[in-house]
Amino acid sequence: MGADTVTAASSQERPRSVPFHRQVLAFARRSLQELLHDRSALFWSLLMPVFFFVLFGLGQGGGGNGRELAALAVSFGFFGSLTVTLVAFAQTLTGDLQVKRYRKLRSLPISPTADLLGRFLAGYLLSVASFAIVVGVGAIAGGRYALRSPISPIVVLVALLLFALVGTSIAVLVATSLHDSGYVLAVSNVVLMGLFFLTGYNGVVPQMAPGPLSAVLNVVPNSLATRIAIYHVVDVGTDPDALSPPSLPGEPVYVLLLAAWAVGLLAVSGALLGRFVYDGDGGE
Amino acid sequence: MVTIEARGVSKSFGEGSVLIDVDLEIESGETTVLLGPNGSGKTILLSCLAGGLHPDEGAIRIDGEPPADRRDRLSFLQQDALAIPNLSARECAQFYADLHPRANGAWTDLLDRFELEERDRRLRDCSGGMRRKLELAVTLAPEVPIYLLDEPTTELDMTAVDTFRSAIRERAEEGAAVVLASHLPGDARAADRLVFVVDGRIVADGTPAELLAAVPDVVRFSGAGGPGQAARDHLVGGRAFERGEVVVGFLASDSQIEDVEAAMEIGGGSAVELDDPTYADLFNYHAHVA
Repeated sequence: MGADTVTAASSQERPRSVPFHRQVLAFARRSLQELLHDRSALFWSLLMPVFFFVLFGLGQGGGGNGRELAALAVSFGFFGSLTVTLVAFAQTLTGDLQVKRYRKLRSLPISPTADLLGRFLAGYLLSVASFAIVVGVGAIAGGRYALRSPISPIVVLVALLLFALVGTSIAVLVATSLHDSGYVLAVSNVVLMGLFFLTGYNGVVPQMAPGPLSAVLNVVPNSLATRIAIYHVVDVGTDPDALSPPSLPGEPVYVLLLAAWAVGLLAVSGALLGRFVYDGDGGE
Repeated sequence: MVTIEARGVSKSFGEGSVLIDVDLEIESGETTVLLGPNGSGKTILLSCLAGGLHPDEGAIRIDGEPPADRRDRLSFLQQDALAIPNLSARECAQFYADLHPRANGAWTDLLDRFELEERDRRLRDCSGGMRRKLELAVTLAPEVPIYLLDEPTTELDMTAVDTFRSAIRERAEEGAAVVLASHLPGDARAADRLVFVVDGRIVADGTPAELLAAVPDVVRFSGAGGPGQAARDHLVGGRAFERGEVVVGFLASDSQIEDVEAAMEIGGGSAVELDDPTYADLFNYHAHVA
């Protein structure tokens, strides 16, 4: 084995940690493998968003309007993708905290940011699949899609990515605030379900948003992300009042606003994860 | 050469102190066994040495540096937590190997050595012993100068225990420091050095021979009844321990075996004789009455 060869001289030649990107990939692969082996997680990730779309989209009279169906499919696609991200992130994180696996992980030369990004990446990959399934079901149900421009698919993927980062950050904030990992998934879901309904199905039904919230649908991250995607992939025709007020956020500045949410919250949550879990005794 | 140095380490959870002012030095090439009753603080001490927990007070150095800077120098087996239930043994081992800069493909050879054949079965469906074999392979795979192992032989079959002891002996011979926590006297036989942790403090530290020599005369009681209170008054701590079909105690320094015999005649029942100390006696003495 050669532990005797790990002397002071040779230790100078060896890196003290695995490269950052390999740490990220290790956490991502592990999280993805865990999720793919977990039927319950797959059910919640891939089938429940479709169920909600059928229940709220087709079951409440939206079926006659191709534009509304497509918008609702995008909305539930975002809702589902966020749920996936949270399930993926919160489930593996809380699992590690609950069995005190972080005693082992803290003994390894790991970057907290790599831990965070790896778990997030796994959730994001699955969330893209979840989003695609709901949007596909929406198309089969009669939803009318139309790309606003050649870069619209990329904009949607970016919006999904940024929104998933927001959701992950919320999960970290909840985890570090509660100091009880058992409630992370439940409380995070309550927060996001609340946002979903308070913003009128992620901003798809503005008139459902109560009073002052209806004026900030292009600011609150969940409705902002969803409405950016709708602008880019739903056939709203030439109707300037579609899904308004406010008007759909088509300008690039709205993507920057969503990015600001994601970067800001990620910075805070990354710092908290480091402080709570790695520099502290998180899970104890 | 001192590899790990702990000075004044204390750790509490809530209002309970788990470690109190612990000083410990671990040298390379040495196999040290931390012994003590359940809940005595061994696991927490080992976790602090590994950097898995942060001491409230005191300092730990690995090769003179804070643990956070030299995590590449150690490999830590944490009891019952390494195995990830939804992964297969192969996936789980690969995950940890991907995160350690000194890991290599040795975990596959170690799984061969521990005879863990079913590597694609999810760990939630594996027995405790199978999971422990995986955890040992994961922990012993990195080529590091320090191995910290929390109750490594729990749930292992005897063949695997012997394989494990051979593996750590090889690493110690190659110059690595091996520290393992246990409450099983059997693990003490593999040690160069024994450290007893009781109620969060180190109460005894020495070679097995030194600590065996410190054990008082062992009084063995055989037959029905066991020692009554009059006989126990001549035992260290007034306490006796079951050892198979007999009961043993440690003769108090101001008593003679004749005193015990006389006390037993008053109470009737068991026969009394002196016996050589076993590792179980070593454990009971230092862990419970010293």
